Amino acid sequence: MPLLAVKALGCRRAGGASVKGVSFEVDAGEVFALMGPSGSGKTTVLRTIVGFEEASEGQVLLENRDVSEMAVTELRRNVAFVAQEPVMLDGTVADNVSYTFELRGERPAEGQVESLLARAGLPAEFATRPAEELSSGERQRVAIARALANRPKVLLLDEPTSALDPETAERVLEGIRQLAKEDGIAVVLVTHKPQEASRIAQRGLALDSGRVAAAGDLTSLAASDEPFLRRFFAEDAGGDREGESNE
Amino acid sequence: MSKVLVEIDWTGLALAGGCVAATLVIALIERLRMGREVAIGGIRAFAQLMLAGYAVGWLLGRDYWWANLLAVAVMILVATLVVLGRLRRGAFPGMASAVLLSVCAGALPVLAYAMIAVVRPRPLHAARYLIPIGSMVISRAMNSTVLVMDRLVSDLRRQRGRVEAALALGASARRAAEPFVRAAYRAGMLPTINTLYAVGLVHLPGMMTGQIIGGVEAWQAAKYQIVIMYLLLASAVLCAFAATRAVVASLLAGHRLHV
Repeated sequence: MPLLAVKALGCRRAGGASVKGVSFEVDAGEVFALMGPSGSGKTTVLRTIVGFEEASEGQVLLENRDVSEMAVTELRRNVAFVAQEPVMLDGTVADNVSYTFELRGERPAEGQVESLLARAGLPAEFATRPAEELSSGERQRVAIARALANRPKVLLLDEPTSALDPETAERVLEGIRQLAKEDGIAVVLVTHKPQEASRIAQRGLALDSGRVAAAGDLTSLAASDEPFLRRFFAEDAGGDREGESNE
Repeated sequence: MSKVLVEIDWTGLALAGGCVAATLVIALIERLRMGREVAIGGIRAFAQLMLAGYAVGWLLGRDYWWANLLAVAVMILVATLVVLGRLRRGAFPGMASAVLLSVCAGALPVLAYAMIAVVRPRPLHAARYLIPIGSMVISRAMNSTVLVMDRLVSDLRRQRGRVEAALALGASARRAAEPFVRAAYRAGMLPTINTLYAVGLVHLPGMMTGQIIGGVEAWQAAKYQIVIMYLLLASAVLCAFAATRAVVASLLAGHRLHV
């Protein structure tokens, strides 16, 4: 049984890319790549899964349970969504991570904030830094740390490396791979760079104008003769495109 | 203190109109392009106040309970329309009912409390008290609703990322909007709180000066003014309470931001 199953999901989104008939499944501990060029609807799929957009059709199942029957707050604690440009809350990095605990009426135990930061790839010294002063890459990791404080089963990451230099991006990807492997989290990685996806995911799907263009093993997708896939993989190999924002 | 009221005759009124004319002349000389607004404003104020004077006079003369309550209902309706006009650019789903609810929440409980518990006129619906106190409370509810809703709606729209970051972590709609709700409360209540600090020192407010000119003892006028200030404070906070809840319920229905 897959941890997350998305079945024929559709969303008509005013002011953003609409999607139709999107289906995929992700197992515990797996990184699944949701790929596509800018404006293809990748972000819309993630936003619809966590209920930021209303699904016009289809179903999302978490451990075989229809998420529309769950309380939205429960859904979002189990399925964490980290936006492409995460917004920091007021205060320090520790305040940001503690906020997740506060929402559940709890307080972090001694050293728990630092341990979450470490899992997101940040040293303990970051805890006392003002969150507003962080770089894009650091914000991404703080956003992952505060999402992990909910002990989510699924992590939806929207272009987590889009604002990072190649070296930092590599470290973040490795961190994501470890989170999936060691904590058994199902990760959906949205990216417009198939080469990057191939480094940590085996399976994925490519979206084109809101529809699934191809899905399956990433190696076979890369080798496909299908014109859209050839163009998509060739563009990534030829140089980075601009990151997708608020599709 | 003399109890004889110096009445304003038509000549006096016409001479006061000279102030509007003087404003118009300066607006023309300075090319302010405000002549039209000044002229229309002056005429509207004249017409509206003459009409109000006539209507209140009619109400005072008869004191029918239904007519007095109808007058309050009309004031609430007009206040609601004024708020809707001012918030037009920031419209949100269900705005009309949210505004009506907010104005009523800010005005009706406070007005009822004032009449039943504080002033206690006989009869309770006496127009001499119900209409002036009602107009002040409804007017405050109107202004507070504009300030609170305008601030909260624009903050939620501008800070979409911040709101969604909290929602994504499992925050309820109310919790995600909390910092902006607090700011909206402040926006709605600060003018009233500032008046509490300055009243009597910087200016004597309209009701007190009106009563003094009308021949009421100054200390009695001061007591009335204190009552009014406290009522207006309660009106502002009740308005903010209802307005913030209505906006959050509409813009964050289903724990999702609808902007």
